[in-house]
Amino acid sequence: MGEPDGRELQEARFEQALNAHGAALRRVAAAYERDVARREDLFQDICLAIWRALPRFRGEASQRTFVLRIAHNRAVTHSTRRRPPALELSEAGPLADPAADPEAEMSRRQRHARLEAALHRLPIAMRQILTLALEGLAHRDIADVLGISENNVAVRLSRARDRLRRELRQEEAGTK
Amino acid sequence: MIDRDDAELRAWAADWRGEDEAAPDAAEVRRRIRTSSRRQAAFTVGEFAITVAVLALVTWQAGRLPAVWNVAAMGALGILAVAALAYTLWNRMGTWKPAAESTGAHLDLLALRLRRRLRALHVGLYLLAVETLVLAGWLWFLLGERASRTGVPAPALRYVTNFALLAVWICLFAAGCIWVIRRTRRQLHEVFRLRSELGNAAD
Repeated sequence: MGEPDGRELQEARFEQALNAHGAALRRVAAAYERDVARREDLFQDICLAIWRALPRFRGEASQRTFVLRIAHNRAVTHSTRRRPPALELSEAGPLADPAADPEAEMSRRQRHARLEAALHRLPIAMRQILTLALEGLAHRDIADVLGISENNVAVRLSRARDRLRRELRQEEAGTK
Repeated sequence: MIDRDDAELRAWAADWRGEDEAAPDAAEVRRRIRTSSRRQAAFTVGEFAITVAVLALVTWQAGRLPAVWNVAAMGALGILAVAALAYTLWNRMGTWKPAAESTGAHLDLLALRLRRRLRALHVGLYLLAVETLVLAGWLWFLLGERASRTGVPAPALRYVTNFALLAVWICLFAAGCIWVIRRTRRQLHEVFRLRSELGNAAD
């Protein structure tokens, strides 16, 4: 068996990145696009951008930061292309766990849908910083993705959280 | 990293991330990537192919009828086709950068690309105006030449039909350009809005 060629290496790296971060990439698409079909298109666009960018990844940041940065940039481009549709609770959430208690599962899906709807009401700058924080990125990594200082991240995240809290309260009041 | 004491953010993160979703179908993603790459390659080749096709057509037409007006018109159309391709390539210079930039840098690049697209569309409309004049003059001479060759003046209907077809084609092309210009302006406006939103959020 010979050495894998450049294309095979790229495919292997891509597959590894997709397995490791695919779910996070889908959530980025969900944060920017409510329409399910367009969300899938956005996800594919993100994958294409990552496929092209991966050969230039030299490990300056973690791979997770690298792919999330590309995903957010691609999603921002996507969001400049069209006006957002009317807000409504999304039917699509994370996949149901068949082993979970159905009532708990239903409640979790409802919380996810409310959170998604509230996130969609936020300005993109706030949505971006919150979704990065919800993915578990450190302030330093968020600063790297957005091109701002860590202090700025702290300030902006705090404002975004206040606003999300208000939106969630409104969302809850609206569904009661 | 989420602060361990920050129960609220942890609860939101748990709701947001939920159960880990099934990994995307890598084979399907690769298939779509291949399709997209082929489409982009076809688009790039297509730009050159169209120029080569126009050059072949004008050379053939110039050879068919060695009258000065015919050769001059075909030469002008050939030069315009080459100039349009050269301008397109020049206009794209500096608009390609790696995707892994910060969001602010990415939006600046996006704005540059959109401004260049607007510039190309405006130049396209000017080129269309020049081509229209060349084609209209050429059509006028062509119909007159046929009439003098056959000794029968071309019926008015033929003039009307030919010029109407030319006008329809030009109007369609111009309408398409104007539609894309409006859409691009809207997108550029949105990019500026986002850029300012990101900038203000950092204050």
